[in-house]
Amino acid sequence: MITRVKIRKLVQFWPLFALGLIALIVLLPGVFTTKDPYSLDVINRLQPPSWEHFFGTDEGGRDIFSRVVYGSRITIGSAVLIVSISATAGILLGAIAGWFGGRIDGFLMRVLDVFLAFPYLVLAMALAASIGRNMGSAILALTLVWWPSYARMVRGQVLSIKNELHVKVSKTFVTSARQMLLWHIIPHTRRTIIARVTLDIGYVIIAITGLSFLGLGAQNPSPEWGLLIANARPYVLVGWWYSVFPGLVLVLIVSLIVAVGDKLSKETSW
Amino acid sequence: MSSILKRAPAAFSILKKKFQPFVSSLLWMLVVVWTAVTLTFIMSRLIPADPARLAAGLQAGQEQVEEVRKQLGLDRPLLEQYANYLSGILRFDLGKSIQTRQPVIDDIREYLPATLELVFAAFFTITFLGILLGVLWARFPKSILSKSLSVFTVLGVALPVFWIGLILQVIFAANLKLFPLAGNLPYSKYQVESITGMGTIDSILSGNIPAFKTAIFALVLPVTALVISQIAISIRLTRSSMASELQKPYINAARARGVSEWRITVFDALRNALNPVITMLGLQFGWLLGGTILVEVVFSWPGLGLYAFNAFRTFDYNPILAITLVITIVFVVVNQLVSMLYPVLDPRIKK
Repeated sequence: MITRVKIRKLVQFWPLFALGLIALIVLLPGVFTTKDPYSLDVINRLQPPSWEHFFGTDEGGRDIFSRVVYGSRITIGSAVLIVSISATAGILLGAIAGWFGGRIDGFLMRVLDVFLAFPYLVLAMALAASIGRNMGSAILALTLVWWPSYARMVRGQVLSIKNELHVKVSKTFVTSARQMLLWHIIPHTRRTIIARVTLDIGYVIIAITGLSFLGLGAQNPSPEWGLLIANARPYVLVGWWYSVFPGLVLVLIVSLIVAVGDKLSKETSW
Repeated sequence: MSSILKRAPAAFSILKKKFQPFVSSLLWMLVVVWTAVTLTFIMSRLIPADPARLAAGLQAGQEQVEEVRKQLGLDRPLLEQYANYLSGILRFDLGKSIQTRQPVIDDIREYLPATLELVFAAFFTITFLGILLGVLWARFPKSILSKSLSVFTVLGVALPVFWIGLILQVIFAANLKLFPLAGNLPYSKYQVESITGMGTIDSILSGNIPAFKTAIFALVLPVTALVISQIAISIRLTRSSMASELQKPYINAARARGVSEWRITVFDALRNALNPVITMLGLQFGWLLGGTILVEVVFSWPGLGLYAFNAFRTFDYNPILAITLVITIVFVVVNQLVSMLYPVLDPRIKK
């Protein structure tokens, strides 16, 4: 009888399991595959999926499954990096604008409005192309276009928290604005921010694979997912597995992350 | 005469009231466009390569490079260069493309229509289908359609447009051979005169039915890829907005008066639920402009995106900056037009 209740309780935590599994793949790719994602084996090029190669092999005879597994580190890792930098910058600036109000707020919001009026993906592409075509510049470009939305969101949150009772109370004993923001304001925005960060990691994965697909991000022989799919393009008619499997894994992981983010933003009990 | 003069201030204030939103949105567009111009200028100075050397060609000697530098005004102080850049843009001078050896503005004139054709076709499909499916979902939440939509809308945001494009090519072009694998309407083959640069419209204008059919078939797969990757958000938003609207008392009141369900859904609830959807659609236009670059690469669609892609590959910076500028302007203008739609759709906003 214990099992049914316990299982139901466990099922409620599925987002945690899902994210945990993804984190495990990113951190310990060696556990999931024994093959080297870089070693060439030209004799076995473009082999269809088999027990030896779950996802088949690519034009250099490399095992696509292990390339996808190792690529997760680059793709998901850089998405996490982009979102965490832009969230940090956005939270700080948004909180400062919302808390102090007045001229700082007015100025910052005007700047944000201009930034948010740009088609951000196009801007990121142009930036990445100008700075240099590598993963670093793709990450920098996406961070530059991503942080304004966080600042806007956190500012709105701060404005609504500002007048709550606990803030008024803490005003009586907190002296510095820094302490106020870091200990009494920002922590109260965590729920919205965590949900938003989760969702955004999914969206940034899509964006960064797009940049890599255009050759503006990762460069060969990196197993980055967007680049994998770009490499698969010439073989789309002779080796369907080459483009299908990396894409399927990408879709699966991103939809999982987005579903978790959706759940987090609807849930209020944590 | 004097009465007219007396009335003049009142008339003026009415005029001012009418045109103030227009003027302020025009000013706002100018600010955004100016920022875009400045940003592209900054980007052009961030470029790791020497623009003079790029323009002179790889084989050019040091003296020739210096010559080109002088010609392009790159030896001047930065502020003067910026002023030159601004005045160049006002004269529609965006520099030359290294790759096509043409002024960039001519290239853009050539490639923009094909991109707009793609984007507008996708945009109208998303608007129509997104709102329709969202309304159906809100209206019949227990139907099979709604259940499959709830799955699709989660998957839909996770589908990268370039991958969908590849899959569509594999299924519908390579295996089923229903649609062409890539490319636009071949103008010379059908002897269609290029008037607007958009295949579908040109073939209609010249009354060429087979060409029109080819043009439509060429559009189907790229537009489908764009629609699949973007429609989920507008379906979800329409649904949630409609669902909350359908719960409001005025719907019950309309029901009590015996208004038909169909009329209630379309004329009462939908009209009020549309505002957030319209805002989202305006933003989606920008995502489509970004997505179209990827789609054009996959489908070799001869538009701005493919042109940009080739510029990325060959380090051809003038086109990259010009495309950023053009796309930003299109995006800002469309969003302003969308925001002008609000008062038309929702009279409450006028106050």
